[in-house]
Amino acid sequence: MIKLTNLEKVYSTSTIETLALNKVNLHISKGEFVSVMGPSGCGKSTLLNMMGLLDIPSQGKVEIDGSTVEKLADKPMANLRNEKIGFVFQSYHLINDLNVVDNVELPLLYRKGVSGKVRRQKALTALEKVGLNARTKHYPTQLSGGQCQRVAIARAIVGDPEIILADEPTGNLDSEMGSEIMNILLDLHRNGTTIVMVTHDETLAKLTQRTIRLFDGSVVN
Amino acid sequence: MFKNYLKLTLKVLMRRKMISFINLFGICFTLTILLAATTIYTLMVVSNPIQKNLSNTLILNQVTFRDKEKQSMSSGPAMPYFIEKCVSPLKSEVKYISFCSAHCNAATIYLNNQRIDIDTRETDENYWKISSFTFIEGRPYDLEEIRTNPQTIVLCKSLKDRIFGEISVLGKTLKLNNKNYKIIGVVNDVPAIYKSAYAQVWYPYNYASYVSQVKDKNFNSWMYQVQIETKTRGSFDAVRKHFNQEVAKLTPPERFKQTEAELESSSQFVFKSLNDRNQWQTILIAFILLFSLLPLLNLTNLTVSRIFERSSEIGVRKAFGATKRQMAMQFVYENVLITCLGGIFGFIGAWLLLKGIDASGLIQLGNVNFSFRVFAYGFLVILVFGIISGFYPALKMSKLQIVNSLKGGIQ
Repeated sequence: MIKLTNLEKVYSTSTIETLALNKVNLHISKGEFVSVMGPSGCGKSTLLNMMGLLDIPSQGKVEIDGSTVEKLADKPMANLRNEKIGFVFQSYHLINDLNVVDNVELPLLYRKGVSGKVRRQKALTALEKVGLNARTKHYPTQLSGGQCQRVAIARAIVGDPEIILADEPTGNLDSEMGSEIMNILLDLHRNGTTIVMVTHDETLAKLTQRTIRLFDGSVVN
Repeated sequence: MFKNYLKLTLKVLMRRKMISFINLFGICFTLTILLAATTIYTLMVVSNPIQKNLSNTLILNQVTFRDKEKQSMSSGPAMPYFIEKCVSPLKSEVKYISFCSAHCNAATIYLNNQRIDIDTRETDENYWKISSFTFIEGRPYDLEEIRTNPQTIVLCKSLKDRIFGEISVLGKTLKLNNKNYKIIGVVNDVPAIYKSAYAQVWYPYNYASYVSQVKDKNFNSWMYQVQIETKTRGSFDAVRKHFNQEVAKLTPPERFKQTEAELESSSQFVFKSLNDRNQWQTILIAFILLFSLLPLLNLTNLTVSRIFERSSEIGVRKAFGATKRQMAMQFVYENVLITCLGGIFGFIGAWLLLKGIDASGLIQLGNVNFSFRVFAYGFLVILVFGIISGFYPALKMSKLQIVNSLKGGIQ
């Protein structure tokens, strides 16, 4: 499903070059639930960003579902993100000016041929899945951290993507909320979604099928 | 999607009320001034409803005599001798030549022992052919009436209503400067902005009779303006050339050596200090551009800050499938919406300003209605404002790497 070949990422300033990822080779199969662990600054989020086509590798190749993405123009790349991938961020990244249901509808706004009515219906279904169908008209500032993360998950799954990339989805939550979010992700996995989750939490990592450990930009296990 | 953008635009406007106010005020103020200036210009030059044939009309308003050293001069409206020598030879190549008072004359009416000062204008019969007055009742005087019954007048509606009320006044008599005049027509009010047309009462002027009485080479001062309606605007040059030849042949009065007179186009007449309407249009456009530049820069700057503030949102939208083009379009759309909102206030502001100018008596504009042309220009300015001030920031932000946008910064 996701294949990374000799992936490198270098962050350059005028004075310093930082190697964030160093010749990473990875293959994540369809339907797999993988966790990525490692100390802070080891390149976990960078790796996830590369998989999610949010950043451009300095070298190497990213393949999503058989397509090499490096040669894709902006539009097909955006379509690929829209149709195949859903993101869950540590700090939720909800749009505060939009209410819950409008936030969840967001990915479908950029999908061709989805009417407003269908969009709304799918968003409500996704919210129901995460147990937030009673808060559709609330704004993100009116929700708790756990609720925000559940909205973020609903947004990630509303377009039925095959891949969910979650960057420390429980990082800002207490353990109780964290396990609720984890349960939702496990449910999604059971339904066949491929999930890659960056985490610092060994307990959560143990719940996934495979853990990839990174150190100084390289895969170490 | 556009409904979503609209919702978001309103939210963004409400979020930072002070910045939104400055934004809207800048657009509104600029448009108010621009629209008011354009409306006044349009009323005066482009779409004068009274003088519809203005574009074919040449005006002789002033004749100047100079001595050889050009140290002394005498100038004033054209006098009969000059007209006979320099204007009359043009008769065969133009449509009409008309004479009217160069300026309004004051006259007095007493109504219930109350004095009313009014503005009057003397005109010949051709004056009514060159101008397009709207007659509510009656008609203008013709040549026959000028010759046989010069005590006839045409009134403007507001004066008629003030003196007689809402009744028909045809055939009634009005005492003006202690003389009785028979009313033969009532026209809609003419705003004072139409310099050659404005008056409250028009009465006949018998040019032929006056000319027959004056001695040869009479250079006495004369307060009349000559209007010449040419057959086409294209014949201006030929008419002017012929006129200039006649002026060159004219022997000026004693102690003067040189005669200067110009047949001005209507716009030259309105803006005497400049030579051509095109120059005025150029100046107006330059004024619009200059006046627009500051708020445009301000708006661009505010848009940049507004968009930068929403960098994270851009990252999220792109992460979930928005293309660069869609992002740029969103911000341009939002900006156009904001400028349109400012534009609506601008239209209202301009309308109020023009009403205020009219009420103050500074410039009498009459019933101000934005013409389609002014509305279209205003709308165009709004669109250009919205697109230019939104395009650059939108383009810049749409090109941001998603990961940088999500971090809320630009690198």
